[in-house]
Amino acid sequence: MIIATHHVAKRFGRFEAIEDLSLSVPEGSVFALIGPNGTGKTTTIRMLMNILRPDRGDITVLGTPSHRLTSKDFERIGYVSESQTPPEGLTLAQYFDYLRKLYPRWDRGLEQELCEQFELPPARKIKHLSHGMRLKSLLIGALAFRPKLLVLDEPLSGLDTLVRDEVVNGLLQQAADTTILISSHELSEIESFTTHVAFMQNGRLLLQESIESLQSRFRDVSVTLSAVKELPQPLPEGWLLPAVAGHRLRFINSNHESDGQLHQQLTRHFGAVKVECEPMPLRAIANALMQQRKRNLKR
Amino acid sequence: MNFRILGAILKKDVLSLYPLVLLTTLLFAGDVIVIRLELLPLWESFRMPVLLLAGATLILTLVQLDSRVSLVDDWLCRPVPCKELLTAKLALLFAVIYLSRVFATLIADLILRHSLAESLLDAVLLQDRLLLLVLPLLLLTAVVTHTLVQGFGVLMAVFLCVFMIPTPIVQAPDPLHPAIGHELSGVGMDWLGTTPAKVVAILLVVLGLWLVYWRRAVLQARLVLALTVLMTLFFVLLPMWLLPWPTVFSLQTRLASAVASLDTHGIYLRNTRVCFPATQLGNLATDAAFTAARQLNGLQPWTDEDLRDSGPESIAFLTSIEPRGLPLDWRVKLNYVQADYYAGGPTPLYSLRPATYNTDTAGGGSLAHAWVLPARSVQALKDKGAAALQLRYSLTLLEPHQFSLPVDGKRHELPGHGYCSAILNRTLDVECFGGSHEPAQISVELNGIPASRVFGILDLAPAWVQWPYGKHVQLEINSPGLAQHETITVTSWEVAAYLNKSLNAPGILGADPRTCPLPTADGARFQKSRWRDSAPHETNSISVEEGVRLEVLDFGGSRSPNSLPLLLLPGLGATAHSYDELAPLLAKKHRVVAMTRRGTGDSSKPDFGFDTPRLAQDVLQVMDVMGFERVVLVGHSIAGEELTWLGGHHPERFGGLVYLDAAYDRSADPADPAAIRLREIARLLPPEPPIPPEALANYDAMTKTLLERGHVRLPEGELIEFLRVNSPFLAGIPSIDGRTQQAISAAIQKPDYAAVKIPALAIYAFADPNAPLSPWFDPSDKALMANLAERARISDTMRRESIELFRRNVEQEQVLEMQNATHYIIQSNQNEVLEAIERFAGELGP
Repeated sequence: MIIATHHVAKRFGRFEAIEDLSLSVPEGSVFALIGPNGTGKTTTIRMLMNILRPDRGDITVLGTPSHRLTSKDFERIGYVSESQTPPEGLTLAQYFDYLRKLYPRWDRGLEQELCEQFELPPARKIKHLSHGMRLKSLLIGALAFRPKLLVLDEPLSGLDTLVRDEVVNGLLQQAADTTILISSHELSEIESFTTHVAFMQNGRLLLQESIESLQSRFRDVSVTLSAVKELPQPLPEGWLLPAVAGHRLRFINSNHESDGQLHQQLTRHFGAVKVECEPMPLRAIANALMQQRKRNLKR
Repeated sequence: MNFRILGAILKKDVLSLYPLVLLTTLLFAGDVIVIRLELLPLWESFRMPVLLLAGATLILTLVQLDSRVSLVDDWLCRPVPCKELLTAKLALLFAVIYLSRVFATLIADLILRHSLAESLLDAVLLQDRLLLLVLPLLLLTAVVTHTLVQGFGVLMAVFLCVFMIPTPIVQAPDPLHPAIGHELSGVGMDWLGTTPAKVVAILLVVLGLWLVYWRRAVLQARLVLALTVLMTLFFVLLPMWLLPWPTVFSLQTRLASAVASLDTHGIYLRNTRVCFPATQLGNLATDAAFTAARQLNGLQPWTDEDLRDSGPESIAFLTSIEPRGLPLDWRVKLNYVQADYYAGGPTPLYSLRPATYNTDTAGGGSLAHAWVLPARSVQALKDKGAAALQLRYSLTLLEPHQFSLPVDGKRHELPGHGYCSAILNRTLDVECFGGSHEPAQISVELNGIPASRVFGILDLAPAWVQWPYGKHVQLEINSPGLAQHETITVTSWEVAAYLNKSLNAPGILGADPRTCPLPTADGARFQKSRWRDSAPHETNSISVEEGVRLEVLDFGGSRSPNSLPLLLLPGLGATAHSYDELAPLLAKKHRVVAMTRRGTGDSSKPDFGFDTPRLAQDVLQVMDVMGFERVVLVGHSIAGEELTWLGGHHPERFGGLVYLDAAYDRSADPADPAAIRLREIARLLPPEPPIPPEALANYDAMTKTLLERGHVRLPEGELIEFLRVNSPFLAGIPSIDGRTQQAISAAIQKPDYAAVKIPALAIYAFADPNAPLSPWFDPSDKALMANLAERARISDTMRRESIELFRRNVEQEQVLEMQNATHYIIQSNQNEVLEAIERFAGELGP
C-alpha cells in the first residue's frame, strides 16, 4: 500500500471531523476520494501530507509514518490543492526555476511540454493568473518531477469544461507510473479514469473498493410482481433502498453475483416475477449508498 | 547545508518581496548616514518607531511567506528542509538589518575622515543595545502567526503587556524605603537589567523555532512566546527588587573582574562639616539658609511624592561626605547610600533613602545627599535615648588614564581607549568612540581645570557583556573660555575596586547634640552674626570689561609728591580685604588701593579671561579708572604673575614691583616628580577638622580658633568673605570657586624675569623650623613626620631655585629672606613687610 491509515480520528474543538478512518491506497491505482462538501476529505488529505496531525490512529505514506515525512520524502510526492498559495509575486518562469532547484529529478523537458500544452504565459506573475491557469501551473509543479505519489485535493472544482478536460488529459498522461489520490465532490468528473473509489460521509468512510468490483456487484433491480406482495422480512442482505409500489418492486442489489442467481432469489421470495437488472453508473451507486446511510442513521 | 536550495529560497524571497526589502534596506542604511552626518535633525525624534515598524513588517512578511502555521502554504509539501529555510530567512534579515548598516557606517565614517581602522570597528560593532532583545521577540512572533495583521496584533499585545503591567507593581519610594529602579542607570548597572533578559529571550526563541519548524508544534511555540515575554519582563524588573543593594554589588563584584589585590583599607570617609544642616519640613519653604546649603551641594528639592507620609515635624537634613586616602587623582563614584539609625541594638531601627541620588559631582568628589526623617521616627528615637546614625556608602573606585587631545576637529586615536575628536563651537564639543575595549567612564576637561570636568555615562557592564557593542560618547564643555584650549585632557576611568565604607555619627543629626541640636520651634540655631568689617576703606566696583566689574578698596592716604601710589594685589582665592590691616598702615604715608581680581570675592565671576595677560589688563584698567599714571605694584602669592607680566610689558606704568612671597616659578610641568610628590604628600596628611559652629559667632572666637590651629590671624573683612560667616549653614566653608581658581593656575606661564627692567623687590617667607605642629598631627606618627620633613625639604628646594631664577634674571633685583614667616606674610610678618615696602617705595621716588 502506498498510503495506509488505521483508525484515524481528528477533532477540531468539539467537532469530530474524522472518525475511525482506515484507508488503503494500492500502488499504481488512481484512487478517488468522494464525498459531499464538508465531509472531511481535505482534512484527511492534510493529515496524509503531515500538514495536520491526527488525534488518534496512525498513517503510513510511502512506507514512512506521516509525522516522520522528511523533505527527502517530498521529493517523490506531488501535491496540488485548490486552496494552495504559491508565491504570488513570482512569475511562472521564476516559480518553476525555484522548484527546479528543489527537486533533483525535475524534468525540464516535461515542464516545457506541459507548459506548451496548457498554454501558460511564463512571464506573467502568479497573482495575475486566472483560476484555471493557476491550477494548471500548480499541476505542472506537481508533475514535472515525476512523483511516485500524486495527491490532488479538489483539483477540478471551479474549472470550466474545456480546462477540466485539459487537466484530465494532462493527468492521464502521467497515470502510468504514478499512484494518484484525487478527491472530489463531483464523481462524474473523474470516474472515467479512476480505478479505485472511497466514499466518505460525515467524517466516516462508507466504503472503499475498486471500480470494477463495485460495478460488478451493484445492480439496479426492477421487479414486476404477480400480485401485491410485502417485502420479505428480514430483508435479504445486500438489498438497499427497497420500495414497493403496487406491482413494482425496486431496489438496489449490492451483492450481485449473476443474473441467474438473482432471478432465483427473487422467485424464492415472490414466486413468478419479471426482473429487469441494470448495471449502475458510479454516481448512482454513490447516491444510493449515501441515502441508505441516512436512512440507517434515522433509525 | 544544501547551498543550491538555500540560494533558491533566498532568490524566491527577494523576488517576492523586493520592494519591501529595498525600502527597509534604504531605511536602515539611510538612518545611519543621516544620523552620522547630521543631515536631518528632525529624524532623531521619529527614527525609532519608523525603524521598528519597517523591521517588524519585514520580519513578519518574510517569515510568513513560508509559514508553518498556515495550512495552505506551498512549501509545506515540498522538499524544503527546515535548516535551509531558516538559514535563508535569517541570512536575508542579517543582510538587510545588519550588513546594510555596516556598509552605511563605513561610508559615513570615511566621509567624516575617520581612520579606516576606526571605521571598520565602528561599522562592525552593534550600536543599538536593545537590538538583541527586540529581534528575537519579533522573529518568534512572526513564526507563530500567519498573517501580517495577526502578527501586529500579537506585537501590540506584547507592547501593552510590557508597558502597562509593571506600573502597579513597582512601588513608589518614600523616605524609609531604600531606593529602587531609576537609580540603576545612574550607577552603571543597566546591564543587569537587560543582559539576563537578552540571554533568556534568545534561548527561548531558539526553542520556539525548533518547536515550530522541526516539531510542527505551533501551540507550544505560542506558549513559548508568552513565556519569553514574561521572562523578559521578569528579568528587567528583577534588579529593581534586588534589595538590599549589597546583593547587587556583590554580584557585580563577582561577575566583573576588579583588581583584587588593591589595598583599600586606607580609604575612609570624612564629614566635611561638624554638623549636618537641618530644618523641620514645616519650615522648608521659609528656611533660606537651609535652601542655600542645599543649593550649594547641588541637591534637588524634594518632590511631593517623597514627602508623602512625613509630617511637618519631620526633620530634613543634608550630609556632605568626602572620601580620603584615595590614590592620587583617583575618584569614587557612588553606587548607593543608606542612612541607618540605631538605638542601642545591632539592627537599625530606621533605614533612610536619600531624596534623590546625586551620584556624581563634576570634579568635586564629595558625596552630598538630602534626607528626611519622618516625625514619628524622630519622636521614637528621642524616646529611646542614645541614637546613632550610620551612613553606609557603596562606592566604585575608578582609576584614571589621561590623554591629551588636540582641539582641531580631527580624529585621534587614544591608544587602548578608542578614538576621539574635539572642536570648538560655542561650547567645546568632544566626540569619542570606544571599540572593543571600553572604559567604565570617560571624562573631558580643560587642561589644569578639574572643576570643568564633564563626565559621560558610567557603564559597569563586564567585558563579556560589552564586546558586541561600540560606544559613542558626546560631551560638551561649557565655558571653554576659562583656559587655553589647543588641547584638552580626556580621561578614561577604569573600575579598580568596589568599596563598602561607612561613617558613624552620634546623635540624631550625626553630630554632637550639644553643638548641633535639633532645630527648636522658633527655628533660630545660630546667633545672629556679630561680624563687621571695620577697616577704613571705600569700596568701589570698577568695570574692566563688558560684564566684568572688580571690587576695588580705596584706603585713601596722602598723595605725596615724593612717592607713587601703591596698588595691592591679593593671592589666589583671597580678596583685597587680605590687606585690611596692612593697608591702613601704609596709607599713613602713601596713597593705597587694593583690588580683588576677577573670579574671587565680590568681583565678577565670568567664564573667561583668567590668563595672565588679561588679568594684567584688568590691573591697568583699574589704574586708568582710578586715574593712576604710575604706581608701585605690590602682590601676594599668585599676584607674582601679574607683577612679572606687567613689569615686563608696561614698565612705563610701574615704578617698582614688590613680591610678597610671590616670585615663584609656578609653571612647573604637572609631570614634574617633585610636584607630584607634593600632591601625594598633601593627600596623605590628616585633614584639618572642620570649623566648629561656635567659632563663627564673632571675629574674636574665630581668631582664637585659627590661632589655636596654628594659622595666622586674618583681617575681619577677609574672613567675612572667605568663610561666609553670615550664612549659618555655609559658614566655615571656604567660598573659593574651584573653577576660576583652577583656571587662573592653569594659565600660568614661566615667568619672564629677564624682561623686567624696573626695580623689583622679592620677599621670601622661610618657615620657622621650630614652629609647633598642627594640633591634628600626631607627633608619634613616624610616617607622618617623615612626610612633613620631605615636604619641607622639597618646598625649600623649590624656594631656593626660584630665588636663584629671580636673582639671575631680574636686572634690578632685591631679595629679602624673612625668617620665621608663613606664606601669609602680610599677616605673619606685618611690621617687617611694612618696613620693607616703605623702604623700597622711598628709594624709588616719584
